[in-house]
Amino acid sequence: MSVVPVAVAWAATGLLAAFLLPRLRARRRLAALVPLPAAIAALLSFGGGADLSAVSAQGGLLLGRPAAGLVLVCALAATVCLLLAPPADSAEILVIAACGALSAVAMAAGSPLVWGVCLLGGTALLGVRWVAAFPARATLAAGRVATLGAAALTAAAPFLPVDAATVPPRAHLAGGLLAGGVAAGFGLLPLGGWVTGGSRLVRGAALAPWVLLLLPALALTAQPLQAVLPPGARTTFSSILLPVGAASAAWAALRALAAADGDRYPRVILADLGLVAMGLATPETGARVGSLLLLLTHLFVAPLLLQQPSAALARPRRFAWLLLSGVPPTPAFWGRFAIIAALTAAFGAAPLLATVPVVGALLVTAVRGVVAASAAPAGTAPGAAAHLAAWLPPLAGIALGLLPEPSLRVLLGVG
Amino acid sequence: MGANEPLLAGVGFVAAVLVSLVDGRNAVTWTCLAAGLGLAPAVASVYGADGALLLLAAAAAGAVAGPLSRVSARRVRWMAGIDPVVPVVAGADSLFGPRSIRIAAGVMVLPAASWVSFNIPLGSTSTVTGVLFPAAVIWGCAAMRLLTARTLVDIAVGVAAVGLAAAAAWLMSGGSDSLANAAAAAALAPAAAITAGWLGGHRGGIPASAPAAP
Repeated sequence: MSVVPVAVAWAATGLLAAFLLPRLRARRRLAALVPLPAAIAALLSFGGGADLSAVSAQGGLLLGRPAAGLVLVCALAATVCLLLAPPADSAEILVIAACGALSAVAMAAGSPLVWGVCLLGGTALLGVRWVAAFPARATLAAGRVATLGAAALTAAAPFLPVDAATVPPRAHLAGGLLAGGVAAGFGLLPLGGWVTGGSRLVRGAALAPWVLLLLPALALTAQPLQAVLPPGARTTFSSILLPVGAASAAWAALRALAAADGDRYPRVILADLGLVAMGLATPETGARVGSLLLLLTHLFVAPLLLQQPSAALARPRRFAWLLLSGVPPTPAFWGRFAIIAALTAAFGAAPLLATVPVVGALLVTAVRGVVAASAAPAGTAPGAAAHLAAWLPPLAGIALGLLPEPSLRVLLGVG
Repeated sequence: MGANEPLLAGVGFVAAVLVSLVDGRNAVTWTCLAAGLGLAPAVASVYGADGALLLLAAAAAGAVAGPLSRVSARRVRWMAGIDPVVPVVAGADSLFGPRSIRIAAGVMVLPAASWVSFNIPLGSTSTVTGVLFPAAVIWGCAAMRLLTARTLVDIAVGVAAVGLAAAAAWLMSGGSDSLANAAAAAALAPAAAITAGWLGGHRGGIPASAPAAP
């Protein structure tokens, strides 16, 4: 089914809310409604469709089954995030709606150019919004690095699709540009400073466009690259992402151990994104399943953990940190286990040197997160709807951990 | 009559220099015009007149949309803004200013764009080489502009030029749904102009120059 209804729903409700919200008093609840029409449109578009890859340039704007499922989960996660966050202003709502529409089109794009352009537009808007809200070096870096990474994806477009008959420089250039774009979008070393720096200043709904909208779109659409790219491009793509992902995961996990309560979660995301990037270096099915499980886990816990720590939401936050601990049967365990198993099958025992310490460090970090959630400062008590909404992501995460395969099949049509 | 490649490359080079150097409140407008005019001849010779027309239309839309957006934004008082021309973080006095840094970065782009143009064939089946230089050099200079950005206008200039260059490269490569997809990429130029103009219209909003983050 076409992605147009989803994109129109995002854009229309975003524009409407941006113009109406300043004139209305009950801003928080109304802002949370903005992603719901897109979720409904995504729900209506369920029903099939192949797993698409823009890089193979088959054309069209059809939302495949995994993409439709992910759009639905992303929109619901954005709703919960907006419910829990302080009242969003019009510019914030506009950026969330624009990033929602662009990420949906990026997931449905059958053209590498449209795919890159959507991600470029989304990251540029995000960077501008961050700078406008918090003018500082760290937020400017988001505008510089993340936008440049997405620009690299658009630069790869004229050289795609590459096939086995393509002369080597073109395949290597395309693979390198794609890997660079993915690395910048994931915030991998040495391009990850914009995430760690920006997340110190930006919290709540302002981080949502990256964590809940653009990142899932990039992660899902990068999954089939190993299968679509020819050997030359695949080699370059893997040779960049495997070491960079390992180094990023190790560095982010190490930093997460010593991070303050508010800075801890962005570093856990970066560590998991390092593992996902390593998984992109292999065509093993397990890596894809593991990446999707990790992606869903973060979509479930991020709406809670992106907020400022507060005693009012201590219990659901504790559950959210438990879901990230990597202890069976949490979804993070299944995701990390599947990725590590796939990496070991593809590259032997060498990746274990990076992945096992990362998993251990993330377990310790999650335990520290659970302890810190209990000692969070008292904040304003959320309303009944927000309190209820705060429990939904952990409960969904528990269901995902207990039934990983059926959950993936129901939500994304994978498995 | 065949295309005069050195002339097309020269026009692209001049446009890339302008993309690198232009500053101020109307920088996105000048960038759109320069990139559009610099790329249109190359696209016309490789793809055809309709492709060139598409680029020129996007460039003109970008040139017009920026000032219009700025005027509209001045009428909206309820939304806070930031001056996109003021550097986000005040840098220390140094021997070389932002333009010098951009020129140095642009000089590095030149051989890279030339290599890509002559060594990487375009298109799914063809082996066309040597025509990509204008798009490659403008894309490279726009990327350098993004990398060395100090203001929001720098980011908007970079995005606008990347969009036009990507559209031109797509048309030259003969990608699928050439005109529609190229139009999507070229639309980044007016979008960037609207964003920069909108922000510029709120000059009385949040001061852009703030202390550096710890």
